[in-house]
Amino acid sequence: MLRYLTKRLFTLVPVLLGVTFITFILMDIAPGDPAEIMLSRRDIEVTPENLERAREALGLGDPLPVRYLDWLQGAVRGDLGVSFTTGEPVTREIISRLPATIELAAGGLAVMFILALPLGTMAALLRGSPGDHLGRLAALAGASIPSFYLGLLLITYIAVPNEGIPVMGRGGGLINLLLPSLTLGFGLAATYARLLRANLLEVLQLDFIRSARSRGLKETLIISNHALRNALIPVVTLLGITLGHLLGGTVVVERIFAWPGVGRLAIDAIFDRNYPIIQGYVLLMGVGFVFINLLIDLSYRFLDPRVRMEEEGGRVS
Amino acid sequence: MENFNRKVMEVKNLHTLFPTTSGDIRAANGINFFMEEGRCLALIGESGAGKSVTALSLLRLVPPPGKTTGGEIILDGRDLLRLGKSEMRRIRGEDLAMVFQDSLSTFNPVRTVGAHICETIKAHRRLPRTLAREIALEKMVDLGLPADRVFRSFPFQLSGGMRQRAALAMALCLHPRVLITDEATTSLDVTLQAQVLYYLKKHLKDCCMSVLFITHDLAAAAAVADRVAVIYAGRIVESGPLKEVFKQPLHPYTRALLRSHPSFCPGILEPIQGSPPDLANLPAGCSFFPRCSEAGDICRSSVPDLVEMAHERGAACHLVQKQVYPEGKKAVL
Amino acid sequence: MTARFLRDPMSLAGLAVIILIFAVTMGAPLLSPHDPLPVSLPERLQPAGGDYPLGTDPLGRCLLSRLLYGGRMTLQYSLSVLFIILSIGIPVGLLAGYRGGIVDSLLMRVADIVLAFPNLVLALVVTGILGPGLINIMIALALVSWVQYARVVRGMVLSLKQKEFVLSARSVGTAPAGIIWRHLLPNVLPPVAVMATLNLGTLVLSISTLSFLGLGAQPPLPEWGAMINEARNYIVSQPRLMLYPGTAIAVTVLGFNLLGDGLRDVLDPQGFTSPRVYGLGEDKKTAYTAESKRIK
Repeated sequence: MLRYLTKRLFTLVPVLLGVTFITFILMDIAPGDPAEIMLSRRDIEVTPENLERAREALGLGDPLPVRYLDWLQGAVRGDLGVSFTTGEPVTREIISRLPATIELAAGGLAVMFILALPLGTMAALLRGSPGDHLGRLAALAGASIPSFYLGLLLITYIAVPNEGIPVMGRGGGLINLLLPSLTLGFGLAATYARLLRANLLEVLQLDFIRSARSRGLKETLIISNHALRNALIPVVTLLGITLGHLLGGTVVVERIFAWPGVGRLAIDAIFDRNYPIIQGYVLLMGVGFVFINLLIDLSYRFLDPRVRMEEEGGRVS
Repeated sequence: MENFNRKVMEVKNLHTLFPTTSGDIRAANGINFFMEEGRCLALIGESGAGKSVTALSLLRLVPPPGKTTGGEIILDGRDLLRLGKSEMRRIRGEDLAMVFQDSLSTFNPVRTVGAHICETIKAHRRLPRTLAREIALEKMVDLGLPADRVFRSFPFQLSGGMRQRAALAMALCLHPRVLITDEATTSLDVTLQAQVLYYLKKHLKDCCMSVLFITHDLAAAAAVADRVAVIYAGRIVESGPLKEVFKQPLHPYTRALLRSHPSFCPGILEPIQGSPPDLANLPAGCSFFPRCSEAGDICRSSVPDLVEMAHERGAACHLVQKQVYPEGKKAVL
Repeated sequence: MTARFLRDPMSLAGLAVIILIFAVTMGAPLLSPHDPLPVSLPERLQPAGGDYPLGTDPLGRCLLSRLLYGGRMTLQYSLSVLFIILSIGIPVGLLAGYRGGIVDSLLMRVADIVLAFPNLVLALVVTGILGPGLINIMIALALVSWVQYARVVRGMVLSLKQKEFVLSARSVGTAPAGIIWRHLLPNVLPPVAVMATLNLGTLVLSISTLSFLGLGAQPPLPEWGAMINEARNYIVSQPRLMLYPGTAIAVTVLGFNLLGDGLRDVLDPQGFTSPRVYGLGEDKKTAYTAESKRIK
């Protein structure tokens, strides 16, 4: 296990380097002079002296590799610079908003599983029936609705008419999380349910299922312990990509429901050309995503013993 | 004169077919045989003759769209085809068990062998996990396996022979009345085959269990079975005590079968003419007619029944029946 | 299999929807009653009827016309992005799969880096850097989406490389270009077609999402997502302002999804485009991967 881990971390290094480098040169690629932008955001007069000082502060005079390493060093220490608009440290701005986004993501994930697992399983078991076809249509339709549209629909037809359901904002407890999570998780649930159904159908064709029946096991036991157990494995691997969609989706949901998370911060930063914040956000997303995928890969090995064998070439004892 | 053991299972006129757009595939076309307590019946035939389908029909596990359309399967006095779903489920594993050809696909690749056996035990008995584990280990030891290791292993970690024995242990752990083995030794090499057969025979004797040994390998059948039933095109064409049938086969197909196996007819190696019948388009009369060297006119038009020729021996062949019963037929088996 | 597609009502419905939408939106110049762009405040927020079949928006513009022209724009841009994506993704996949070795590792590393970022996030950021605008989000989406095609094509090439018809072509001395063009490409295209169809749906969604966020189509362009953004202040008072474009998006994407799903059965029976049960054996009856060291 340890050997596998170190091997994987090794292959991650070039990817991480790429991620950080791309994040870093964002500021350079962008049109416009960062120094000028910083000054104007802070309502400081744009004079040649001020520009010089701004450039000094941003270290724009040094050659690229030096700046990259400097920045990288800073990033590792937790110093990502200072926001153009507020002057606060980027790290603090991001971390203060991170819990809200994580909460939202968790809610979306929960909705996704709660919807996808039973629906996908039932669709597989009811294969060929009118219910199955309806399910297929429903799933495809669910995946076709843009999340922002769904959010607005939920607000208009569920939140507004109902006193108890808040229209937007965070802080009133779990009820605030309801509509945003629903918006976030709905589309993903549709795709996942289809995937689960397809995998389950394939697994149910396999011989060991027939063998389980021949031993007189209860059908529910066969579905849960054998069919789902195997069918969920590739579904877990997909969790990685799904998480990507989830994180992207938070940006939209945060906008609509005025949810004070990192995505909202990023969008505002994009409009403000607040590069340090944008860099911080991209770095967070990139690196975080890489490590999440690593975790998922590791869990995959835990779920499917055959993979463990391939890596280690021995037996479990 | 052999001891007449109690009949444990009787299959009468079993029909199973698979509807397709180009006609029905009649995989089991009137199967008749019986099994006695503590004895082994070998079901012999070529690939595609309907052996596996028959076995699955006994367990009522024929994959859709196939279905069993007629006949009786009487196990200890009850007709399995009339039982409700949960009744049947109780019988599977406990009274009637099956071992499949491919041991690798018998097990779920992501769970240990031990987990499989324990879940089988617990599905039928209310026992704590520890006790179930004990029983599983005991059974594996019975079959000559290093029980502890095998219990904890995943299926792909075991060699073919060990895996097949583990599958056998799993089938035997609840002491079924009837064990069906479907080509269980076919994929093993000769030494491993011998191992599995050895343990099979041991259990036959020790547990008064009946075994339906399905195979196309005549030598394996000869090694383990007391009686034999020859299946062709979904019907039993000959049955009887194995030694007698092999020494003096009555049905032309059985004769041809033996002649194509060097070990049973030394000096002769004659492949059977023609090709196996298409189960979707069976000829009107005897199914073996197109390949039979002794066929007569009656064989073309009418299907011969399996008729008792001598004590405990049956054959489904017009010509043979004519010889023994020139006036008319006696009891149909 | 083609027959099965033709008999599946949902796939046919998808095809019909797509054809209809294409026809209607491409024919916008002919079909729409008004010019979608000019503002006309005295006519703002008119209900449906009369001169304006679907009413007008807060700036007095005909909703129907905006819908039609908006659809035309969205589809045109989606197709353009798809074209770019395929132009990058397929050759990269072919190259990586066929050549193998360093080229393969390098290209896949690049792919890994692109994939290291959540999809939308990367598109957001590229848009953010380049500034809002349709052309810019086209670039952003293309940069982000080519990777999945490269991966799938590469995977197919890897498995096809060993197949007999390729080996025999090589043994006769066919040049690599010939092999790629005549043997690999035709086999790779059907699953790619499935992905592309479904991708058109996701592109429509992405473009409208980015426009909704203000990063894509800039006012006064009548893009569907942008229209919904403009309707945000009126969702309770005038829900139709968001309902029309929203439904338009959903129906269009649904059409692509139905069509793509149906095509998948015909063009990709082996399931190269979807993740399968890990290590399904060739006969699809057993599920296992390599067999490792056994206990003897």
